Amino acid sequence: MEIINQTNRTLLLDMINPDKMDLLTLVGDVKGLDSLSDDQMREINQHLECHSYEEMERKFEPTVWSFFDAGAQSVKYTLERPENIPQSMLTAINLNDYDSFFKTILTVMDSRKAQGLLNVEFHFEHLLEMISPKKVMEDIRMVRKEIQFNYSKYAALEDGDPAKLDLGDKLNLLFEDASKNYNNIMAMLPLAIEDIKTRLLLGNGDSGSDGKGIVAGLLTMGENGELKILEAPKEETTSLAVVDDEVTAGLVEVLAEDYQTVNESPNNYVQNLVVRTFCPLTATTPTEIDVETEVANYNAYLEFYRTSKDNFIKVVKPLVEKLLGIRMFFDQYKTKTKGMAPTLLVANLSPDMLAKSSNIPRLITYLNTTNSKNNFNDTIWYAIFPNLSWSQNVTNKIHRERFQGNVKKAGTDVYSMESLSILLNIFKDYRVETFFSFENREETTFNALAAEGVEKIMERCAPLMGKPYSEFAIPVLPNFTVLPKNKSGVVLDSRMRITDENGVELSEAKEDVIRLWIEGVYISGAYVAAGFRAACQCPEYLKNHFNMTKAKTDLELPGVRFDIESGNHSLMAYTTMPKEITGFTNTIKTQINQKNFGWVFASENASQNGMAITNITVYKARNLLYDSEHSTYEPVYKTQVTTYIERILRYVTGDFKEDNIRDFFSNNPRSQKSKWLSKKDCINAIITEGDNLDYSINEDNGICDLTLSFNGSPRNLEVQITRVTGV
Amino acid sequence: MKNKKKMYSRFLTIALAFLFSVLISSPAQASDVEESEKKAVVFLLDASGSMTGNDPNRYAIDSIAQLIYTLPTNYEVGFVAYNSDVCTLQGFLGNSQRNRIMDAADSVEYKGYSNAGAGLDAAVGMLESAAADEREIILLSDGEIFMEDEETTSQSQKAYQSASARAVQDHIRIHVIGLGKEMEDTANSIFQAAEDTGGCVYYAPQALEIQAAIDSITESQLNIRQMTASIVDAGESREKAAIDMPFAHADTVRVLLTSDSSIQNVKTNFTAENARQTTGERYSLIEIKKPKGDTLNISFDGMPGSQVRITLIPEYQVLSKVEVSYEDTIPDEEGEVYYEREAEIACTFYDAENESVRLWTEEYFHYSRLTFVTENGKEEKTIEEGRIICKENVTESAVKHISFVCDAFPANVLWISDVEIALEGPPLIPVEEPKEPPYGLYGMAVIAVLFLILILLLLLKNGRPRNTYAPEEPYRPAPGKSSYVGKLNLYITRTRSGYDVSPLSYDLFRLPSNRVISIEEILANCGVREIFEGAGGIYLSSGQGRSIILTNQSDCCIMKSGEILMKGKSYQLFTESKVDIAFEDEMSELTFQYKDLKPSEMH
Repeated sequence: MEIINQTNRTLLLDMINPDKMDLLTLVGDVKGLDSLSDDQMREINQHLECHSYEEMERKFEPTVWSFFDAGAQSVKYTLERPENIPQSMLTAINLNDYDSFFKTILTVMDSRKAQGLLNVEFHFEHLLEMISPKKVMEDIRMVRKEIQFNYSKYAALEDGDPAKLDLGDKLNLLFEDASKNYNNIMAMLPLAIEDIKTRLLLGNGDSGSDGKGIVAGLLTMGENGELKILEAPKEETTSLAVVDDEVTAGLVEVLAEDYQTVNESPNNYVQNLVVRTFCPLTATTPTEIDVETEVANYNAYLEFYRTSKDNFIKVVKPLVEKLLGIRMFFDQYKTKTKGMAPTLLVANLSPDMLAKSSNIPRLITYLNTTNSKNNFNDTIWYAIFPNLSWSQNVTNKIHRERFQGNVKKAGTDVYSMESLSILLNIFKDYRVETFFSFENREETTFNALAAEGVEKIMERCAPLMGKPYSEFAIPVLPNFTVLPKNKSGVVLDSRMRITDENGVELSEAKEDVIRLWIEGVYISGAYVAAGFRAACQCPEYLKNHFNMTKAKTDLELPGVRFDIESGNHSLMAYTTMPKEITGFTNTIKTQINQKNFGWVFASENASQNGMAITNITVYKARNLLYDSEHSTYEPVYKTQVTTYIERILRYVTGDFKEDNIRDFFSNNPRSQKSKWLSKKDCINAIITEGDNLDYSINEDNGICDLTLSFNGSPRNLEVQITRVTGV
Repeated sequence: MKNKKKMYSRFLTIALAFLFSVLISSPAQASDVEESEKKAVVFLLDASGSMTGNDPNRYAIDSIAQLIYTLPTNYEVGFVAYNSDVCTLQGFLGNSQRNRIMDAADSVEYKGYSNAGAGLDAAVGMLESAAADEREIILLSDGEIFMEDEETTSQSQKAYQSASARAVQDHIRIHVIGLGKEMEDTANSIFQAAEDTGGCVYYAPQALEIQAAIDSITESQLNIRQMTASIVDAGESREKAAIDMPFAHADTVRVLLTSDSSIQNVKTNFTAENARQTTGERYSLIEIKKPKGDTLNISFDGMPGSQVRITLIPEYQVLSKVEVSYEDTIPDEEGEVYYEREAEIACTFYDAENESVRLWTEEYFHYSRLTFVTENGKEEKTIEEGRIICKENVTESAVKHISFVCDAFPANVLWISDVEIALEGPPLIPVEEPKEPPYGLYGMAVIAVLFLILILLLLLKNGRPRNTYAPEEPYRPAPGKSSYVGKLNLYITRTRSGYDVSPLSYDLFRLPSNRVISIEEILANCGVREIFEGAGGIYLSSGQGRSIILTNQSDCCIMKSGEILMKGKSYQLFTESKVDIAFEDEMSELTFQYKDLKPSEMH
């Protein structure tokens, strides 16, 4: 790998966080510039280049902004920072592993992977309960138990004891995690809900209690206990719980102080709530509780929680899907020994913006810098274009909506075919292969593909076929389903009601069950395909996956020639995505094989060496270049091999000097061709058995015509020879 | 505008003229046929004894034959011979009886004195009673009046003078032929009569020369037209002659053979209605009525060494016809209400007896002259192809009378009819009705003009950017020898209108090497409708080594590789070069990249 050290740097054409730097901003004004300076490149890499999901999360901080709409008395969420709302009124919610929704989705994915169950078999409902306040509280209980345990030890030790310092570090981390919820009033809502439930039902709401004669606690929220949003709550006069334990008292003090410090607009009620939540309630001061108000508050909190969660999910879902995609991009590279790890350069821009004429010169200048130099560190090999619009602008005309139907997506996250074609036309010049997939919807899932075949997708890809850039367009199908639409209901809790005997209980009536719908979560296939292909470029990855076979792997060669369709390659190297369906019918498979179209994933039953493969495999790996001679679309590896050879040739021959070209192809054992031929048995050989690499030089027009023959199927490459002029 | 009107009126005129010539031309009515003019000639011969000395061979008698047979049919001929007194007197005889005159003449004997007074008195007496328009006496004498004594001589002289005086009175002309030496003196009293009556005097010293004197009289005094067809030197053998006779359809043609020796066995061969032949010793006359052919074959026996003269004397009786056609033109002067009319009068001539027979179409008559006599006077006309055409302006309707005088005509026209022509006056110029404007024509014209303007605009549009401007400057990169090889990828980054224009591509490789193309032209070819000020001043031309040459003649700011490209300078762009242009409006911006094309991409 002394010349080209990576062949899998990938450009993601999507936006993660508009508040962060993007490619165009970093490239800046390019008037009169052919390429960017090294400093600029370093800056771009600093901001946009990611080697792992965590790095991406750190660099881009996927954020949802929330603010309260007094007019609608509701919480609003947005992915873009609202510019007309003061900073103090905005709450940024980081979409990280601590976000209940994101965590729920991740848990679903991890569980499915672990269990190897199909979508139809998997019980999504159980996991989705994680979003409910009860599960939030459970998590908090875990944290607080840990905090309490550590704090008790911390308090027991003398000052200056080194062990105390270690515990201090641990507590710092725990408090850091806990404090992330302080700022988020929404995160506090489940705490309040559970708090009321605990006090009214003795924390035993679902244990079948009859709810008799329990004396409620003293907590109220605001003067009358109703939820007040914008108006700052008046000072709480109700006496708080008396902590009789020293440790607990110390912890309460610490939490209260921490809350006051971290929160920009501290609130005594919330402070007490935080303290109560994170501090075990070992003693309370009995106070008369207005049960009716508390029950009303509980129901209001629950309804508010549901509505805001629903709003939140709808807003955050596209972002979550992107994050999941990026996560899965990196997730494909699972190998024991790390080598050429995939790198993702996040443009942090919508492709539509990038494809605007005014921005294209910047993109070109950037690509000139990365892909038109003999330095291949920053070379972009792949691009990911997710969420291509599925709509062909043909909709059924419905004059009156008789039943509530799907709310059509605003289309902000769906990108146009025009943008794709414009970008492909540019990428063609820089030989960047683009994985694109259609928007996430039922029509693009495994279910739809298994039912309808590839024809619909072929039809939609027709505008990109027969074009000079077709070779660089890889349609990926289908998209992956994380959470099926029909199994996306989440039960939050049930309404509370006052019983005849002035007790309280949770209603069991169907209409009192508070439920929200996530409406399906999907991952664009392009992320997975690009991640998988990028992973396959790494010789260590290949070696790791093919170590069971006799095939050799050369650690100096990238996997550009690795043909996933060949032999049983797809059973040796497969994605990390769990199977979704039982498989395609033979009819559909015949159709896919006849068409040989696109990058097609398969969810098939298969086994290798006695081990059942529970993952999604790659069934086809083709681009949109149609080979009319063989009535088939070209395999993707041909394009990359051609690119690789051209780049190596340019490098080795000193920008295509004629003599060097002859040396390159000569039979000398030290010639590049000979070196490649000597490794033709390797799984990642550049020239494998049956391939041929030949050249002819046209003296008249100074063109060197390379003929790369892949198993008898030729591919031509023309390069302009540099001639040494002069005497 | 005026010129246009004039041209238009002329156009109309020609059309009208043709119309009128077809409709109006019709034969004018000829006047009724009249009798031919009567003329009378008396040959007065001195038959005194002295004639035997002066005319021993009696050539005088032959000359009488020559005269009387030469005279046309409308002449009546009388004969008087005198010596001591009138010895022979033959009253007037018609054409068919002239041989009786010759009989009388032949019977004359030369003897006795010379009583010219008695002879002239008898001749004048004859003519005085003759009903003829022209009366002539031809006197042949060889000497003065000479009687037996002075008294009778004097009486005779007085009688001579008296008769001469009467002749003058009666408009009788007396032509005198003097024969012999005695008559050499033209002051001789005999000749006095000729002078008194307006006649002529001829002198023939020898009798053989009388023939020449007769010829002169007939031709110049009597206006007899004759054609000497042939003069034959007689030999030992029989003479044959084929004579062209261009007088087909003539009323009569006389063929007169005269010689100083005897002529015998005359035979003629011709086609005619009728003919007769009269033969003397030294003459022969063939009178042919209505000859048909144009050739006359004649053969005779002559005395060897003698000469035979063959003379043709044609006579015609002619019916003339006239056709009139008109040509009307619009007068140049404005305000005229009538056309300018010109009548073309065409006269043609026909046989009086047979109106269907056209006369004088033979080549012999071409350019012969004929005199028109009208109210306006005489006018000499020329026959062409058998007809006479004259043109005359007609200002009003009139009847025109034309008579013909054939004095200069090469044939004897005994009678020719006059004609009367009713000339019609010019018609009124029709007042032009104001015509409805030809809207259809105007519409077509407007469409045609618009079409032309459109074509011109298209040509301008297509032609304007086709600038072959190749600025000259020092240090200009060398131009390419081969055609362009690459293409341009164009990105319009900013427009005045604010619209986003999709990326464009322009193939240069189709252009020939000498083609200079501007950015404006490229953008126009790409269908960009935005206006980029100064784009027309940025030129690209083919350079060496697969490059292109960019020349900036505009005030646009052009940047490449971190430098600003100077105005008026040329720069070589190699493949992958990226150029940024900020146009003159300081708003529109464009970036283009020059890309190489592989041979396989050029298909």
